[in-house]
Amino acid sequence: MHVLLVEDNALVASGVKAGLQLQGFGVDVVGCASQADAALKSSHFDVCVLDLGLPDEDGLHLLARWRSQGLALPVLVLTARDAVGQRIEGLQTGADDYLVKPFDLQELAARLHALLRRAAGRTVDWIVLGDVNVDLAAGQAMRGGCAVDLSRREWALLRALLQSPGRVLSLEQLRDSLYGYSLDVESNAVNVHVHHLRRKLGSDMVETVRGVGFRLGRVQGGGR
Amino acid sequence: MRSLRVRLLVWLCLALCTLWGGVAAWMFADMRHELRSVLDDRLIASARMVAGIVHQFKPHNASPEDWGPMLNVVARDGVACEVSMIRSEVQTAPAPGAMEAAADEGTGAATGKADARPALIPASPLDVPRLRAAKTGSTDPGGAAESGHGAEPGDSQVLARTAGAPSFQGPLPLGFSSITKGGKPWRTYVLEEHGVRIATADRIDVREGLIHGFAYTIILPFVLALLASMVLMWWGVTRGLRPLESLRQELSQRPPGDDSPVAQGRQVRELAPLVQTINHLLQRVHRAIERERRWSDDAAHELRTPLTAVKTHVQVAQMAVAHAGAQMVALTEQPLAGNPGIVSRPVSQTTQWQMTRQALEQAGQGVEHLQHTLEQLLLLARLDCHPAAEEDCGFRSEPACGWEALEKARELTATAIPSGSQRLRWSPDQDLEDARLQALCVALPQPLLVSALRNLMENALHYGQPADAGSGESSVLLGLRHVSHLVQPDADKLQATPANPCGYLEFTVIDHGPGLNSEDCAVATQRFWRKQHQAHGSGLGLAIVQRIAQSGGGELELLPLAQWRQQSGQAEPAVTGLVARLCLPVKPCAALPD
Repeated sequence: MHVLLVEDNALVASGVKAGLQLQGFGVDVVGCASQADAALKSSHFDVCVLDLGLPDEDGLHLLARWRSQGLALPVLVLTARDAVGQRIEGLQTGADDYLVKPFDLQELAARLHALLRRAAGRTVDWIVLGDVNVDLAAGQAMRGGCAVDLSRREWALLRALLQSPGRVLSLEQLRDSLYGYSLDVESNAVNVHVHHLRRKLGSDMVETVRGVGFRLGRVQGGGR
Repeated sequence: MRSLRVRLLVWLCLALCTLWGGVAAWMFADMRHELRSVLDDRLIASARMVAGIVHQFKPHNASPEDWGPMLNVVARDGVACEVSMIRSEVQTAPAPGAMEAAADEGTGAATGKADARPALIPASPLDVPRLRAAKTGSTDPGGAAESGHGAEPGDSQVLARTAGAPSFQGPLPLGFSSITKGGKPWRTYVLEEHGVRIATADRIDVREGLIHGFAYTIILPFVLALLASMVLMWWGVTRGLRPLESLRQELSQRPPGDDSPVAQGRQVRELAPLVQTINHLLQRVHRAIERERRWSDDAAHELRTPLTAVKTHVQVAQMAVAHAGAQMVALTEQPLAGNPGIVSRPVSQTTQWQMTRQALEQAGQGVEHLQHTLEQLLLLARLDCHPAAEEDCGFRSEPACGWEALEKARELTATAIPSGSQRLRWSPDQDLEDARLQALCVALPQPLLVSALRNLMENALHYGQPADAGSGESSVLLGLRHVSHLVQPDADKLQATPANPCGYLEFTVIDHGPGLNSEDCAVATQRFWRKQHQAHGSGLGLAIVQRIAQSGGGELELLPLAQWRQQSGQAEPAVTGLVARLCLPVKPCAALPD
């Protein structure tokens, strides 16, 4: 799950990044609006955590610009200003959720999960794919009633595929979801994780679309 | 409160009454003087007319029947008249012939014998003294003046008198005088001419009645005109003060926190400076509120951001430590699962991990405390710049239902403090089925009311633990009732607080802890006040509750439980604890639900 964190305070940014990474999110941090624009153009993100007090542009202004450009990325606004009027203004501008500092990391993660769930058109975090049950909130996968141990990258890959059911995700998109754009990644790293995921959850869990990328396999039973 | 319109009208009426009252008094005095002169002239004219008739008539030959028509001429005008013969003249002509001679002598004087006895023939009533002086042989006018009154008693013989007229015999001076005859005052005029003394008289009360009649005729229209003027002035003043009334209405109908410029009264020359001053004041208030608001927003940002960094990193560290601990436990349990190759972790490493976990837990508690204090400070700052806080807290939204707010505060407190759900209870005398009470609303937004009640409940839960936890009562009792008056311990305060026509909602939170004495209760709502500095909290909770109560037009009162029981008629001096009473005025629209 690839998160774009737009936060100018380095201390807060590093804390949120570490906390979200511990909860299985892949996080890229940018410190200003221009860097956020550049990051969105160069990489794929599933959700954005946006701080309003940015040095080069007001966060709400940036959000309004994104929405006017047709960007549908779910955005959770993070701010220290908690007045009712400001919250209303933020939501009306296009924010999907609002969290006031200081916050609880668990709450932030839960809200991000909820945003992703809504974006994927699901109502619950519990997904059934054939004999595989996935609890996205708890980070647990079961196959045939037995718990399956997935690594952090494998979880990120599974989340990315579950987030876009039926859609083909390119190798670059999956690489962004797994590693972010700042890390130097081996060219076949995604293929390795796809292989491991097929081994642990079944070969028909991930479907290869030749020359394009991968998508969630059409497993009998479907998800909900 | 004094009314400017009434004040203006009173002054205008006073000025009008003074002016026109003076004019009326002047006119009345002048009229009375003129009327008296006219009536006096009538007496003179009547006397002269009678004198002329008598001179031609030969009075000594006249019978009483002849006098009747003669005196009727004056009697029908309401003038009393008496004709008498002067005794000395009679004596100089003792016989009727002499009387006639005397009369002829007078006639002769008037017809051409004036040269023989000119001094004895008076030409006018003013000459009568001269005539008398000539008769007594003296030419001194002063002496004549001194003896200028008529004949002595018994000097004259009454020849005729109008019907109903009293006798005017006596020491009547010539000319005008006032006498009382038969108990009634008379204005008399006495004329002596041709040996005959003629006295004409008016009753003074009749004359005064005439004067008063004239006065009433003048005063009545004046009074009516004055009353009509007052009505016209009332209408005119009301119409003239209409711009002021419009300004008053605009200001009185403004919702709280509306600092837009005043529109009324700008075109009126007298009001324009006032409106301009009000608008300048509103601008300054608006700028001050905006400044305060920006300040509290900036302060919130600047304080919350580093706190967020600390809290986030503490949470990351806690999660990392928990993860490491889970791994450590897993490794420790592996030998038990049958892997003899791995031994359990050293005890010192486990202890270090536990110490780290405890340290992070305490750091987390410190951060929570700091966050709580910061939130309280920010809320207090917003309440201090009231209009902004109203808007921020949704003050312009619907008024809060007291019962719902109490339930919500109870629920939130029970969630925040684990023991709260067991310790927070309803007061034994609380009626839980009173639908009317449960529908009452107060003029405060629900978030503020809930915040105030939560503060009171958390305070009671934190400080309301009995000293001897084993035997004491640890429950916190909640109560809500509808009271008609905002009862204060201070009588002056009570008088200063106007009663709300719909009464007040009284929220009570009672704990059974060590409580506070009366002196502490008086200062407990001061900011940063704490009974013991090592105690939990920031010392801002009660200050916030009081500020919220004030913003809703109510009051917060703290008093020892013993005193509360005493006021309720349950004397129990040994009991300890604290009662917090929050009284808020009931919103009028929701005062009497069905």
